[in-house]
Amino acid sequence: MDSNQIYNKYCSRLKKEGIIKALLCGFTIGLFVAAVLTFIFWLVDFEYFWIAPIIGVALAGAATPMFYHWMFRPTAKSMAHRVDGLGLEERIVTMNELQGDNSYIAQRQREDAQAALVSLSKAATTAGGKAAGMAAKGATKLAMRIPTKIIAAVASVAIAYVPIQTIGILSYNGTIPKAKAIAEQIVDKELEFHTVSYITYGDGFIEGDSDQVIADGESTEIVMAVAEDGWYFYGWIDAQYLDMLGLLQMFGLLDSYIEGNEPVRLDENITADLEMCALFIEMSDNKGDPSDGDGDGEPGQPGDGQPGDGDGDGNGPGDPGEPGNGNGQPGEGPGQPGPGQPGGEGNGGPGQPSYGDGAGSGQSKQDDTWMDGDTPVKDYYQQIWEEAMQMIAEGKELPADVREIIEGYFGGLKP
Amino acid sequence: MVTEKDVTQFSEQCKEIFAQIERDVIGQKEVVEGTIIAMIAGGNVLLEGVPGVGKTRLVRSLGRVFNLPFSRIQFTPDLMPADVTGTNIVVKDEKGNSTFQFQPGPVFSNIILADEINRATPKTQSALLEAMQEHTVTVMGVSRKLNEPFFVLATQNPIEQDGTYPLPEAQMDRFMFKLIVKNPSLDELMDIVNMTQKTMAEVANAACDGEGLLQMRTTANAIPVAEPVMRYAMTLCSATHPDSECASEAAKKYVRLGASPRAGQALISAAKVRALLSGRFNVSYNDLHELAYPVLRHRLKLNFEAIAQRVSADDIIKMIIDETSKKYDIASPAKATATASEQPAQEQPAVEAADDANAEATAKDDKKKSKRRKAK
Repeated sequence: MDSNQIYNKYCSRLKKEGIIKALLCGFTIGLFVAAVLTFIFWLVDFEYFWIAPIIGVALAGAATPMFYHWMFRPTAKSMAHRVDGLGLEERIVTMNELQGDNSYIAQRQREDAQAALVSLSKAATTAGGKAAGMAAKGATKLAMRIPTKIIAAVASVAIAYVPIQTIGILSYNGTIPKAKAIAEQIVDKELEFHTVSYITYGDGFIEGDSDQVIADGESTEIVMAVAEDGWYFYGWIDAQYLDMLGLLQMFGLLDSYIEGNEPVRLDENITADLEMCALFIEMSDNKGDPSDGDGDGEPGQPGDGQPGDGDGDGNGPGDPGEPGNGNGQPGEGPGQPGPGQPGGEGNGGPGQPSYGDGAGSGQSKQDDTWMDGDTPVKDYYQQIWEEAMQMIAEGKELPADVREIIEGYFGGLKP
Repeated sequence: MVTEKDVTQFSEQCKEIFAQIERDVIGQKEVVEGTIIAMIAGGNVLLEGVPGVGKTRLVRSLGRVFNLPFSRIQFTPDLMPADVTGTNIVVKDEKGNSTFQFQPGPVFSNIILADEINRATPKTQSALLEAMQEHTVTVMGVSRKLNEPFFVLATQNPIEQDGTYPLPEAQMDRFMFKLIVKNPSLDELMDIVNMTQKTMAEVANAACDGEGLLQMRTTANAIPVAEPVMRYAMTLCSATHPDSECASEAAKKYVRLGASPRAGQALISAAKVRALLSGRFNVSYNDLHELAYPVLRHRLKLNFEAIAQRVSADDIIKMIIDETSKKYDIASPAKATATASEQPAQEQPAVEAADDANAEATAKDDKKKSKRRKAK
């Protein structure tokens, strides 16, 4: 094999390499376009999604010759450069440049280059020997020098295309929902909003945006309940319980419906409409110092209780006047009004305790007197009273503490 | 026009030159090869090495081998420019009239050994500038042409820097190569001592003359350089400039001033000679890689960062070569060298192959002669 044949052999390898590169690039372009089209078809629910791969193949077919022509077609210079890379020390590129030069040096250079080519070919085909190994290795490199970038591009596009095409097919078969349906679900979910309102009960106001429109799952803006003078903020309650507020108060269940005592409020993860009410309670004088209450409760019903002995020492809480028959004897001493002892409501039942002067006309405590700001005193003792009556009726023995409370409040058990 | 005879003569003379120098200089193959390449290419050489490694002996031996007039100038701080170039002296003619007559200095020779050149003052060092570049000497407004071929082979000592004057950039640039003369190996040292026990005198014979050397230069100049190789060589030179468009990262980081255009000229001229010495009729990238070190190392002005980090000019050149070869998609220099040396066809350069063939023929003749003698 002469040097021209050897060189042509190398050139043909390089041309093949260029074709392979062009094919890979064309394939990448075609695959990429097919992937994009498949995705778009899937998005717009285009029925004929199989058109995408056909377009991809057509594009690949059209792009490959263009890639070869403009990018990968080996020129004489590039081929010489590659062949020289096999260890020919720029003999080939120089020989190509000296084509047509008939000077002695040019002729010797040509001969030298051709001899080197022949010896390289012999070394590559001869088995054994380090030089042969090196040359063979070089020849292999010459045939398979595909840039990593091209391989990476092909691989990444192929990796992207397979799942997209799979999704397209599965969607077309109805195995998975179509993109439009998924998108609608996403869009609907995203457009869901909720109304959050903050209202007041009593004299107070909401500082901040009291009517807010909040996206699903989001949080409200902070609002604050501010009480007017003479009122205090009691807590937040769901507005749906406002109608039964009286009953809740009456049965002492209000606290269990209170959703937070902090005036400042922030509601998180709103998933439904919400209306919260800031509950304001008027501050009464009795609350702070019940001993100076000016209750207007009615006198207790005449009972058969013993008249008060009116012998208070004036230091402690005066014993509540025993519900009497209205003719009770006035006590002897000027009993001091006890601190915080509630006066009776005076609406019948057990006689309302009267304070003070032993004449049964002492100051009656207001029925709106509260214990600890939460529990109406009347309700508290009334409940204990009723429970005690119930226990007595059932023949049970009253616990000592209950007895003590009742005796302390009502002056004794009079079932 | 270069003919077959010129090429053959080139190879024969080269072989003889190397053989003769080997008789006087043991080892130092790179330095000897570099010096001969520079002499053939027409460049000056700066030899740097510690005292006693054979710098002066090499230069004296070269003078003998090339059969050229040889002058030695020992540079000292009190040496004056006139001591180098020569001066006009007053002489009386036959009629008794006093006239100026030019007395040529030692520079008027073919091979100048400027020993310890950095010990002279810059003024005296500069006296060589014109001679090195234009091969002329101007004294008292009169320019005189120096004999061709003209070479300056300067030596300098890298240690004992006290009382020395670093060569100015302009003069450094006029040296084609800066060669580092290393200490001999143990075997070389033994050979040196053995040889000098017999005689200290140089024994090399003339292998070439001035005309032959000029013809060798002409032959080497005819070696073609492919356009990509030429471009690569120029890129290597430009890459040494931190501000050039193809500046390498190494140059940007470590170089204050890069190589001048003379470096490009020197690189190509020397590469042609090296190619022909290797038996090739074209310049290869490998030639450029090998010659980049002696051509560029004295032309790079390193910045403070390089000095502080103890990065040498050779390190920077290596970085530049690596970076540029990658850019040009050229096998790294080490790999290229290995591949080339393992190719059977390239293992034996054409010139050497021709020489070997001649040697074989001579041996055969000798055998025939001896057979005839025996027969007689």
